[in-house]
Amino acid sequence: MAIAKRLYVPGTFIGFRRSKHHQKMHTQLLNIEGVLNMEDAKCYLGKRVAIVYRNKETDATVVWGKITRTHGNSGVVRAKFDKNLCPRFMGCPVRVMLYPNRD
Amino acid sequence: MKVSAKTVAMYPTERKNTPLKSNRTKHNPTKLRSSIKVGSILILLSGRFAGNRVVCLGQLDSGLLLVTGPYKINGVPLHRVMQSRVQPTSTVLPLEGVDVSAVSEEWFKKPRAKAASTEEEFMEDAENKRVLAPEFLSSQKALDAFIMPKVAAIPNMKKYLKSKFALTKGQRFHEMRF
Repeated sequence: MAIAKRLYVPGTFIGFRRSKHHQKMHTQLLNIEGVLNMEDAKCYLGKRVAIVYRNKETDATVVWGKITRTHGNSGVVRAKFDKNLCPRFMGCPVRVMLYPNRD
Repeated sequence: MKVSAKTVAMYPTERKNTPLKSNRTKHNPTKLRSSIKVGSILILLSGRFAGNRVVCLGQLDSGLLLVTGPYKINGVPLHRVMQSRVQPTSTVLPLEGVDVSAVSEEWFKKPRAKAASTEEEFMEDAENKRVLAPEFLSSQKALDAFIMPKVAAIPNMKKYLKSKFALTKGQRFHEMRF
């Protein structure tokens, strides 16, 4: 099996920022693979995120976004996308790019 | 009243319009990040050469970094990149005295493409075809010739520059130290 060569960190779109009865569709919550606490999540602040999806009519469509801040203490981050993500994509993989770099 | 020629000369009849000074046009040069030096090995994070390790040759007037593969080693030509699209590493090549004064930013600018109306026009559009400046090629050769012996002096450096950076399963970007 070929080793996947990638220049992004995989993540998951886990839902919207929400309270008990309401959800804020304009802010998406992301889980980044291997990030389990807030300190590690800070490394990814400001990074560009992409969600890639396909449907029958179009080829791959990309929605770009940006990681804005951390969310809680378990390494979850908040992200803003150019277009609000469809709730259908909850649980779908996202790509956390390695830029902009701040080192 | 009789107006003498002298008076007319002293008071111009038309007001000259001089543009007001504006902060908008002020050039605020980009600062070079402390982690990047001349000779630093950088990893390109986006674009056509994403993943490649390149050598930093300095900062241009526009604030962009001038980098090269070198072309002979990994195929990355003389190239402009934004600082934020680059991962600096702690590896530095000793490149004292490297001269990039001959490099012109004009070489890298794309000519504004005119929209082709027909397919034939698009295929045979000589105007929009990008031609490399002969000075570009000569200075790339000169710079590569300057760098190559420095690369050869360090064991495994050529192999390192040839290898591409990528994340594999289980690797954690936030735990990496470059």
